Amino acid sequence: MNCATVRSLLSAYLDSELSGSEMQQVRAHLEECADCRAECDGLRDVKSLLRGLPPCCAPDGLEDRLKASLRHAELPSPVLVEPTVATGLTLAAAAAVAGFFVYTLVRPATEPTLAGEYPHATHRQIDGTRDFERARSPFSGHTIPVSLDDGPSGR
Amino acid sequence: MVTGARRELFESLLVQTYQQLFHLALRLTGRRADAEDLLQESFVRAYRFFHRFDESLPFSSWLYRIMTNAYIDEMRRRGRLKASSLDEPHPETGAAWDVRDDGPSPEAVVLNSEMDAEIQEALNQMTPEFRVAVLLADMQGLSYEEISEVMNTSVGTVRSRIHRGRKQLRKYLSGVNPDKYKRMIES
Repeated sequence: MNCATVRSLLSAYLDSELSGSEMQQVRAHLEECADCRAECDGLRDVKSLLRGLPPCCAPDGLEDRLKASLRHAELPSPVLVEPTVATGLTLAAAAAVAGFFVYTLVRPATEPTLAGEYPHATHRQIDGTRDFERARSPFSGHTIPVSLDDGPSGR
Repeated sequence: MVTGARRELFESLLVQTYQQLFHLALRLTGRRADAEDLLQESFVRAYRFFHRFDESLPFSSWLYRIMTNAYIDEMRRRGRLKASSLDEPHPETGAAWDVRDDGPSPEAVVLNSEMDAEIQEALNQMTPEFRVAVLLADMQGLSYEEISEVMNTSVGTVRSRIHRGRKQLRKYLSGVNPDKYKRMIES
């Protein structure tokens, strides 16, 4: 075995996790090679430091808190309202009212004309590569994305 | 839902293992509060899936697996949060995301000695997967085969993680205190 191979096996060697023949080969190399022996000593020190760490005391009351968290985990999930025709109609009516108010708030004061180009931009989005503004099309009346990259400002 | 005798069995296993698991959780997270959260999360997950537990295997090994998965998941999630804070300003304000510093504060770590503090700081610097493998081997005394089952990976990967993890530790310690750890300096 050369030095590179031996060094890659040193942790497993220290943990006795190599095969019998590998253990023998690494041991034989270490007897001959002072550099690899020093490398092995350094890794052995790391292992010893961690093995020597004193156990940490768990905080007071931890056992009780853990048991309490189990009881909490056992609590049933909140019961969902059983869907019925009545609740469906109620939700639909509420959505319609909300939708009407939202529409009246964002609706433009005047209808777009062919003379103006996309005058009613509502908000801007960035898709990661190009800037867009959401604008109302003068042709269809639908809201469409308008690229700002190709605009006259040269953005 | 776990009830009756199974619940009593789970609680008795919890009582037998929580101290040893807290020790691991504290060395993984570096903070008492985080360790307690991790332990609690692990026991609750185990409790919910207790029907899947094979009683012929050690309960602690099963908990190691649940805990290390929860820990690595959380570290990856925090890594993503941190990456987004560096790369992406807030879309409305243009300011950086407000993400708390997850590094342990010196006073939050339980320190038994100056050397303990240095080792904990070195552990905090390690890659999460390496930290798990090294702690399971050196602190909990698991074999590579057992670690491979806990981490759901091959023995070869475990061997590599432990070796690279110890080298990370050695590099950090010999860098912060060359006199004390001079034997660790790479030859």
